[in-house]
Amino acid sequence: MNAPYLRLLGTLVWKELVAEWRSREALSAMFLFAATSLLIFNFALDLSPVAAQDVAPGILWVTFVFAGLLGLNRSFQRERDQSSIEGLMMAPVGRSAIYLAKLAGNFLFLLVIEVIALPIMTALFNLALPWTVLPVLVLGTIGFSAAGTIFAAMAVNTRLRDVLLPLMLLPVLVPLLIGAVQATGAAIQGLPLLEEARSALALIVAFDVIFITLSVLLFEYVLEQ
Amino acid sequence: MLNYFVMIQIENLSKRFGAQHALRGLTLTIGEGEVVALFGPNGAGKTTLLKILATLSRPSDGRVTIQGHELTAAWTEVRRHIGLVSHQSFLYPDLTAQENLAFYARLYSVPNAEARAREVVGWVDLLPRYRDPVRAYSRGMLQRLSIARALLHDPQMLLLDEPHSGLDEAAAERLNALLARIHAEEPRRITLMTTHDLDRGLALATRVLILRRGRLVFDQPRAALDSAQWRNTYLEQVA
Repeated sequence: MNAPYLRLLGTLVWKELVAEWRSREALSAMFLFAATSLLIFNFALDLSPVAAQDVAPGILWVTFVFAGLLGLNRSFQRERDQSSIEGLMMAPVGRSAIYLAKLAGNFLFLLVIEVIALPIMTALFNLALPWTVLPVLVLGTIGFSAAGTIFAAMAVNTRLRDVLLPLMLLPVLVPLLIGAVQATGAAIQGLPLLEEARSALALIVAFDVIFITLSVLLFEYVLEQ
Repeated sequence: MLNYFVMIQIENLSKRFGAQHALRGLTLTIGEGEVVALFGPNGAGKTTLLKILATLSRPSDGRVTIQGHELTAAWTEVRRHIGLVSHQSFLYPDLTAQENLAFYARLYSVPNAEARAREVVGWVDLLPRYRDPVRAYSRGMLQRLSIARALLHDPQMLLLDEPHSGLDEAAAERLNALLARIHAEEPRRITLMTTHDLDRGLALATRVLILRRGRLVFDQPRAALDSAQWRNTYLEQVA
């Protein structure tokens, strides 16, 4: 990645952030979903603090994945409204930059929701969340955004995109979610991550690397279809 | 022998979508300064041709050269020479005109981007609305801003895909006047326009093409056409 490439990438990320900040369509939908889900889980599961530690990783990741799906749908819908994606495709910009900028936007939006949702989770479930949860969330969110961005690009031009995206994406996310839930559980229980959740972390990192690499290589073909 | 510098050379171009042939062995040369109006009924292949020239679609067969660069071998270089105005504006409704143009200027590495953006917005008479969000624009204003966006990087080839569609009479007339003015400002630029509007297309053109079922069936200089007979000529060709 040379300097002009990074400048282009910065421009594309800037557009993602400003366009979303102006409408706040994705962020508000994601926040409402996350807050409502956590509230419903809290009422549905009458938990002692010990039991809360056991179910919290699952609740967190279910909430973030479905909230993230709302953001992914909106991310490419914005490009579809005025066929702006064709404007990007016509510009002398590598397709990988378009993908990486979308990935960065989706990652940052979901991260914002996670940062807001964690205190809500702490308050509702009377649960202390150690800081070691954060690197797990970051790594898991990178993997979710990497896979989600390319699948959202595939689904956006189909009539059933809202249904198709979760149908395609959720099975692919299974290994990532297994690793993320295990590592988050270890972090919440205060265990040393690199010792107790080494294989789970390795699974998440491998998922991130594989999906980012594959998507950078394949995004050109996805766009042209 | 060509008496102009060839900018677009299309040889035996075909495009298939499954079993459907959108373009069949199209051969065509367009030189600098030509304003080409491309007519044809729905499904004739007009938009497909424009999408290939705009690098948005790959040809199935044949060869396209733009400014000496073969299309499929030098996408990035070719893209610097092309501006496209399509049915959609390619603009982001939540951004202002200024932000949209600044964004595209950075993608094309346009020098003195702000001054250039103001210049092209001035051409399309939208300076008073320069800082308004694009979602507040009318269809006609959006079309004009889309032209400003397409001209921002000073392309040598302007592609217009049915620019009059969706515009009322007054807006369509204004658009024609604008396109004529833009061509006068840079007379070497190629303009290739698809349209169903026979009169407005003819009024702008220096050369007239008709596509039918993916084949070029008519290619005449505008000067050789009789305006009064033009509608009949067109109907005969596409019948």
